[in-house]
Amino acid sequence: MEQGRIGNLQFTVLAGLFTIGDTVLFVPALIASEALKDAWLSAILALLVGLGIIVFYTVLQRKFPAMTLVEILRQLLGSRVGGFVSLLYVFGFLLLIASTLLREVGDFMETQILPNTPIHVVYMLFLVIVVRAVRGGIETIGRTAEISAPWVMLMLMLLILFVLPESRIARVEPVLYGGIKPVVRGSIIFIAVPFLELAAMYMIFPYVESAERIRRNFLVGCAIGGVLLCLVTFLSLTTFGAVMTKDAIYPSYLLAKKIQLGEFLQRIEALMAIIWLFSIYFKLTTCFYGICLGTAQAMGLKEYKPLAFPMAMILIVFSDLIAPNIIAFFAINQVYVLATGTFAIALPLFLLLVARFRGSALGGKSGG
Amino acid sequence: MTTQQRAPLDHSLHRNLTVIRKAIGTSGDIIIREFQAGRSGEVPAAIIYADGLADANAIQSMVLRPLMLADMPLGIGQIPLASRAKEHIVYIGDVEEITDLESLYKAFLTGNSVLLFEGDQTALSLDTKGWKERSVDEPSTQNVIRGPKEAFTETLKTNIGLLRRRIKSTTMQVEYKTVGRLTQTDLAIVYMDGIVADEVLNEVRHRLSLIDIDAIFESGNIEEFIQEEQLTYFPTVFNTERPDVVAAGLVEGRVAIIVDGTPFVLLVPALFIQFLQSPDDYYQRADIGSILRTLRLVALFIAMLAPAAFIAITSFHQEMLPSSLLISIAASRSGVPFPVFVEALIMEITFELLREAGLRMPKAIGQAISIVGALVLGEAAVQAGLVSPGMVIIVSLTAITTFVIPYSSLAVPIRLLRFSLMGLAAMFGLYGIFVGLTYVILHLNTLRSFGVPYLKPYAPFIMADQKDGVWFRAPIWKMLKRPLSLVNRNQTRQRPPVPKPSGKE
Repeated sequence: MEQGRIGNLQFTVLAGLFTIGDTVLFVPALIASEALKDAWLSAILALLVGLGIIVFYTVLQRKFPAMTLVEILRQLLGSRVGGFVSLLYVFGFLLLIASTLLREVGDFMETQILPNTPIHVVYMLFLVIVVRAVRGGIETIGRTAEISAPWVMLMLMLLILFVLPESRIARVEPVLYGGIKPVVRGSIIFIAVPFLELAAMYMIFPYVESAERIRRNFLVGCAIGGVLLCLVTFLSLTTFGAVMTKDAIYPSYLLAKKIQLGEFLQRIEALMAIIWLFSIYFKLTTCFYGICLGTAQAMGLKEYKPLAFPMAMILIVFSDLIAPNIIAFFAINQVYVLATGTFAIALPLFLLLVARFRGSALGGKSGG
Repeated sequence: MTTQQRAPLDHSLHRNLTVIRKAIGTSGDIIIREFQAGRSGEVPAAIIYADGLADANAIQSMVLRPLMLADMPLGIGQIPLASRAKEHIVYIGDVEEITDLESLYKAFLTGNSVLLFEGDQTALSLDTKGWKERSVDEPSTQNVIRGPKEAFTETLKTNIGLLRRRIKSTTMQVEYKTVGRLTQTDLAIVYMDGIVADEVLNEVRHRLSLIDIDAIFESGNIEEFIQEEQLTYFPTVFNTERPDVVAAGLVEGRVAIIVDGTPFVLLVPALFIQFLQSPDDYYQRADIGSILRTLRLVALFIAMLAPAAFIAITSFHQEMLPSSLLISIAASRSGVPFPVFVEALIMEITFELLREAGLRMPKAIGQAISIVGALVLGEAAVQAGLVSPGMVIIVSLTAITTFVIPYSSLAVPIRLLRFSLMGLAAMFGLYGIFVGLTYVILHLNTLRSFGVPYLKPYAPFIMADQKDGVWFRAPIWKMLKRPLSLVNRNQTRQRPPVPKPSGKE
């Protein structure tokens, strides 16, 4: 169904951009609301746990290197049950992530940059490039990520560099004032948002050129993204202090507003928004690719590309339905870890067990 | 020309000439000269050539004179006269024997002269081509500061000669082909044996063989036939009138397609970065070349984005401008009756019109156009309060930067994209520009040129090829390998050690 292959570098870049994704935009606020001044410790903790989860993902991938999660499900559970669970994964997990992402783009544009533009126009415009990418196939997505990644990196580095003079270590002192518990609680949402969502990458594993190097590249990509996220969290805390960080909806956008270089380079936050527009774009595209490919594979269709356009229309509706307003939208985060954990941890674990019990009969390693 | 119905020639000269005269009809430019060959005039013969294509002097002194003064006994019907004449009598280098009418017509229509003898079924095609042609001149479009000043001409042979002068190796192969049922246009596929990738070469041959059309007048016609993706602004076939660029391309493993009748030679596979690399990047020092390339990349972005960014910032993101600049822009726009997008559109379209007019104008009037353009664009429009001075600056900037792009086949899509991006910027500000640019990148990533991804070596990223990229050129002695983007065998360009001054550590 998918003829294209992406290189190792492209996969690494895609993993990194997926990790940065929407996380960079609002997660510092979410952690800070739990862990306050120690949010940066939560971020580091989450990164360490997250890398462990990445290794866990690749265990299943190594068992079935030539299959997407949907194909694994269909092979292990049969086409009927497997197909049903696959659709749950596609519509309960991937579509959930995709619609929250689209909603975030819409909300962000609506509140910060384009207050007079109807939100659905913002959705549609964003989906034009998402659908175009998916119709181009995995190769197009990979190559575009490869070309855009240096720019995202550069901008993020500039952001960090320009804001550095504003940051004061005193704002995060004393360390561990509230004890260890808030730190752990704060890290949960950070584990859920990029790292549990990374289970969406199951849909592109078989299309990476060298399957045996996936674990390494996956770890490298996510580690780079994770470290940058930790830096942004730390900077928000040391620049604004815990209270302002947790009350801000988009702390890193607030950071970008702080940039001032000489008399002329100031208020370039609209330009800096390109960072998360790009990273959200690639995260959404990866998920959306998984949705189209997963649906096609679960239903036994021959081609996934024709699904892109109808799925995009469904996605617009879902983004509307997911929450009535931005406050309710952020309330989702309380249960988000359970929702994503079901598919990111429980499902692969279950599949590993099934593969173990039915193992030799199916010849798991040879895959499909 | 169809191969099935090759009518053979007759023994009788008279009957042959009757058939030929009938085919020629009323065309006065085809000259049939009957004469008696041999010193004593024993053999009736005829020579046919096209006036204006064949060199009449050569025919007189190299063919007619020796034939008429020939000493040798020429007996009708006993010995093959044509081959005797070919071997002993005529003073022409390239002589071919022909036996059918079709090749006979083709011979004199391409400038050869055809020699017929009484009693011989074989005729001779003598290479007496000698029409008026433009001499090898300086390139008219792709100029360089340092580098060869020669450009291709309209004649296929001259063009191949220009390439041979640069690559004196037997591995440079030239394959001839004819396309166009009526025009019978000659074209040559040129490549370096042992360097070119077989898939590319076979693909070129295959795509050319599929062309079946009545007329081919320019390499642009061929380009449209052989390009992969039709629905794109971007060129996936490279064209140049510079022999040095073609020679360099051949040595890198590309295939050149030279079409008779045009100085523009095609080069495939074509990568996006090629259109931003000027030949003098390689003839100047590496650091200067790199800086110029970076400058060109900046120019590309300005040419594409300047009006769009101006529209986006002035209508959506005013906070990005320092207050003093914002105030002066607002003050200069205070009398302008249009929104900034309309203002930009008017100015850009005016400029495009002037540009087009300047191209088509007779040279003598060109001056007048530039004066009118400068006055209309610069002075009058501002004084009349139709546009703001800021917009004039932006439009002039895009105009200048468009001409920095060395190959016009890339400048055209950039000009077109400028307008789409202006529209997006007017509706959605920087978000619109983001979406537009991402769409362009996505589109470029779906393109291929003869199987090679268009954005190579950036996507897919190839580290080794970064030494000759879009913003950087390594010193020549660092380029040890041919571009990995193109060739998959015989990659070695040079072998270390590189030359260093002797006697120094």
